[in-house]
Amino acid sequence: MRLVEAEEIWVEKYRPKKLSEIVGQDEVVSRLQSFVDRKSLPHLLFAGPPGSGKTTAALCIARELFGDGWRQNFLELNASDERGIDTIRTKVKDYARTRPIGDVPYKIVLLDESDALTPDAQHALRRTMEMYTHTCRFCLDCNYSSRIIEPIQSRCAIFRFRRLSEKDITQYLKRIARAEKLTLTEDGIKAIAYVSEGDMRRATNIFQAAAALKRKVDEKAVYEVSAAARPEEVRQMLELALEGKFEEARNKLYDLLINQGLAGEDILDQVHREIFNLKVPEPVKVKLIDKVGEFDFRLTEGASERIQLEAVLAHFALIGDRLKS
Amino acid sequence: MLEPWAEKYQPRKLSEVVGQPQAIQAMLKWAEGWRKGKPEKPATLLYGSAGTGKTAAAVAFAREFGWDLIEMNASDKRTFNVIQQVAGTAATTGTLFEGAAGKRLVVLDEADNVYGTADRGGYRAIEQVLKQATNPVVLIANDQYSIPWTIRALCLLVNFRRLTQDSIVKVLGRICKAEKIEAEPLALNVIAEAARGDLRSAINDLQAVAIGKRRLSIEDVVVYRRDKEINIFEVLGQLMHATTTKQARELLWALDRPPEDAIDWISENVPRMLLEPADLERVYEVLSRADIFLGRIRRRQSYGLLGYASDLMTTGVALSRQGQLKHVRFQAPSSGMLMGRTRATRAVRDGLAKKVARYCHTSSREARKHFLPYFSVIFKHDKKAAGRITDKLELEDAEVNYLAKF
Repeated sequence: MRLVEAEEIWVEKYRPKKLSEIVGQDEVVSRLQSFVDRKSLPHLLFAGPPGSGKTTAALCIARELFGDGWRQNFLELNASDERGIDTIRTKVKDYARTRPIGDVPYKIVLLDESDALTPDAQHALRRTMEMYTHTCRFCLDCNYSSRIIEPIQSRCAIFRFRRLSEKDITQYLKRIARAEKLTLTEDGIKAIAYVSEGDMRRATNIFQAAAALKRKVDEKAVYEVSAAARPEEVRQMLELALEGKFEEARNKLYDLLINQGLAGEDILDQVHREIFNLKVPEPVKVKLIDKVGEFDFRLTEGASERIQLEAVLAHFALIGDRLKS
Repeated sequence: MLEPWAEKYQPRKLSEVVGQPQAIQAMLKWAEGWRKGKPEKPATLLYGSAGTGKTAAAVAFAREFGWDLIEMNASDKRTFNVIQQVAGTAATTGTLFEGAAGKRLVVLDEADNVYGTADRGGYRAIEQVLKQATNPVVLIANDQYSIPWTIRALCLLVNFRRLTQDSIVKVLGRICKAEKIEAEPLALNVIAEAARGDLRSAINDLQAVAIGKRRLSIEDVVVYRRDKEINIFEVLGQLMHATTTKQARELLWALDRPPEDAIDWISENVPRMLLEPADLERVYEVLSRADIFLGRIRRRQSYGLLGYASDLMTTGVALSRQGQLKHVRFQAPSSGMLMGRTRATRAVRDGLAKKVARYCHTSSREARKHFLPYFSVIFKHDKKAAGRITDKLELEDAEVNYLAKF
């Protein structure tokens, strides 16, 4: 008998193994279930926000169709991690060229974040999809189906996953709490649901981290954890800049980049969130958002994230100065 | 092509090495140890600023004792294997013809340049080579503290000092004599002073002004110095006072630094000079644009864009300023260098994110943003759970450290 390995990352430990266990996507699940029951699968396009169950659904389908050896006939690629469409095409081709292993009609290729592909890359992908349609089914995950070109959309059955509600998240977290023999207070649940913004993956990670702090997970533990993931320094940095203390703000920035090892993109992400908590007039916040967005874009185009982030601080310093007078 | 004088007049014997009597003494004593068997320290670390004679001393040293010289410098690929192969065998076996009696001198030049991913394992290799060495090894570096202490502990530390103006003048005088040039003492003194203890650059300067001449006067030197690269601090000061694009532009040429470096110097110092927030914002807007060009150049190898980047960071910055300036002490770009030092940390972070991404069916970006911060809480507060995650993901020590420290 094979020992079941202890699973320590809750996102994986409690990831549904069957379609019927997926939370909050009843309509999608029942349609997918009928495909699986008839063992016939079209190409699939899953659209929806992060952490709503797209990848889980694809994994469940593979498990239910292929049984224990499902991994042999399942290839997972992440478009944002694979450099260039050529890698994807080569990998997919190499994989799809051979016949499926065992008594199954086809293999499944899951292409995550497929809306990260340029239209050109998508056209190339479409040809690959057609070429291997007899041995392979594609499941494309994306946040917005509108970013997927028409010809691919028309070849796929489209499923829209909705953002999970507080009720959905509560149901799932309570299941984990029971299995882990933890106490999860009502305000704790509310806090996780609020902080995770309907993203089950984030909710699960926050819960696990909060449980590492104490066995009774309440609102306080949740906010402590989410603060750790969102360092105080970002707000302090912005406030310093607004007060006109540019050099001090800049030193805070270096601390975030160097000592805390944050990526520039993640710092800007938090700057964006912090704007809403700043003591500046509401119309100014709108302008700041626009500016931060502009620099987020420049970050991907530029050579040094440090210079782009310093430029953001310089802008905050100017806004702070204007508000004073 | 003419031979550079700095090479032509390199010392042939240890006694010809100028201005480092203590260092030479220490090296000789160390060499005696090798002749008798094995000295206490298997290696010596020659450290000191550029142009003080470190490499020259090592070469003269090998020649004087009749040892074969095996030299590696930063242009070699210092991977673990290469160092093991080249330095390892040289340091543990005798020379072919003289048998075990003849020694080989292994010289690792620019030993402080062993870093980054291409040199992974480089220091570990050096450490091992030193521990097994049966032949003398010389490490050369500018800064002794840039070498890990594990390696320094195995080395005899020998400091090469900046040369005095007098000893530089003496060398320059000797060279002039050999080249049959009649030189004004003042001219040689001006060259020597500008070199600030760097003999090699003094000799290079001498060659540049004196080549083909029978007589060298102070006027020759002054004219030459005006054309030569001016100090980066002077440039920064002048840049912010430039009022035309033409003035500002010439300053970058005077700087003679690649734009990627220049932008670090400018962004480190210029913002501290500005009093007006509006100036600050305008300056950074321009630097941001310049950086975008640098990004495009780096990604697409479109070097044709370089001119726009350098124009923006000079003319753009200079002319963005409208308000008053503050007087500040200029400093070298600290943050830029620190970023370089953290490159290793960032590589750990990104490698870790990739592992988590693969295991948890997500992208590296998502893993970095929405897994690592929470894992870090777990690693700080729940050692047991941390241990299980470590096993599950087969994390390496560096990755565990990153999570525990984040």
